[in-house]
Amino acid sequence: MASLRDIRKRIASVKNTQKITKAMKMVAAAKLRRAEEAIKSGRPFSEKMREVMMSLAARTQAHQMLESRPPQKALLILVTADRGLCGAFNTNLQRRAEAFLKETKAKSIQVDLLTVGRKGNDYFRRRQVTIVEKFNNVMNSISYDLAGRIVSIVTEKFLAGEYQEVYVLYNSFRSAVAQIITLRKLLPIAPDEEGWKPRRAYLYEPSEEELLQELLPRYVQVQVFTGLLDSVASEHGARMSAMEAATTNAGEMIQKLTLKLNRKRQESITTELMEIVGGAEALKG
Amino acid sequence: MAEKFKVELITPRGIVLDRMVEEVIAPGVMGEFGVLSGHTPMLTFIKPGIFSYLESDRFVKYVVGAGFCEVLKDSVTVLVEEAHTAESIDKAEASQELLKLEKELLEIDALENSVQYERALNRIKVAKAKISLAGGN
Repeated sequence: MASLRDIRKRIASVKNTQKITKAMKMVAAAKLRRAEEAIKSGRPFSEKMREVMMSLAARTQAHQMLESRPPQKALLILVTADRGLCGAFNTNLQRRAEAFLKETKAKSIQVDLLTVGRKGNDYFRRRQVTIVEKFNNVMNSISYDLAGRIVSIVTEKFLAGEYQEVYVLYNSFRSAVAQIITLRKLLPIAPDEEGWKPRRAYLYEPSEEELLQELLPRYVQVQVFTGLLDSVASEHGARMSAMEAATTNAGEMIQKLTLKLNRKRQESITTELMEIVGGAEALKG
Repeated sequence: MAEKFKVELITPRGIVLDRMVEEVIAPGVMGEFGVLSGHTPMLTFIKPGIFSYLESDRFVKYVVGAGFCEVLKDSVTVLVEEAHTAESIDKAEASQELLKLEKELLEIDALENSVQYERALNRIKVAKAKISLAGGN
């Protein structure tokens, strides 16, 4: 049975934990706001890019990055967080990735991984998957340049014929409390029906083919970049709600422990009183 | 006074510039070009360099990274990887960056890794443009 002192210690420790989780929640909330801002300011760029890309691609169909071939090997870009303590954020991604590996295995497609974020790498490093490249501890400093580095690795391998398909798996941001796991085919670039319409006549400088050649990798880069931004915002959102829950739980625990402590204290007072009374009775007798 | 048209300068970090101007001069891959209102629709690449626009007899300059530019009859949209105003550039910092980038460039094998090489080259061009713009102030 726990003594009075043990319970007091316990309460003090839970209170400390509660302070930490509360602080983490506030930090996550602040970071979330910034991440949301980044998503919003990145949107005009990616939308315009998409618009121009689509109109170009509609005119000149022939490019290796647009052609689909029967897949034998595929590459999955897995975007996770660098740190834990954000609820099921990473676990859900890992589970989805596992499921994806199983699906493709059934179709006898071999899948290799490229991990962004430490957690995904930690998880798959000990499993029977090839990790072709890893980017650890980068989620704090997401940049357009980073997306470029990832994409240049991927496109090079794709164009060399090493992989026939490239996917990206990440948590996309809906709201602070809702993250949606998104699996998207990055390469070959799938023609999107609605966006696939030719636009007004342009003067092209240099030629259309050359433009397309240059534009396609950039388009992929933008897609990866938005994926990364989404993932960062989702991570902070997930951490915020996880820490919120932890703070509430700690509060509940403190309440229960305090109740227990009080009961215990009264009990011991009662016992002491009984003893005194008993002693007095004995003396009288 | 020349007729005005809309120009937008957009980077992945957000919209840098969105206003009505009289003239735009941009560094295209086929050479620098100027745009006035009523230009033929055109699509071209931008190479790292100095982008400027004219508004009430004054040129305002930006350092831009690689990207592309869509010219329409009454608007110009420039999408670039980065853009900096003259005020935001610290010359000493830019020189240091240039030194660092040049060192990095030497370590990249141009034949083996052409994409990376070109990327590094572009960043050097941006740094150089920054220095020249900061020097002009």
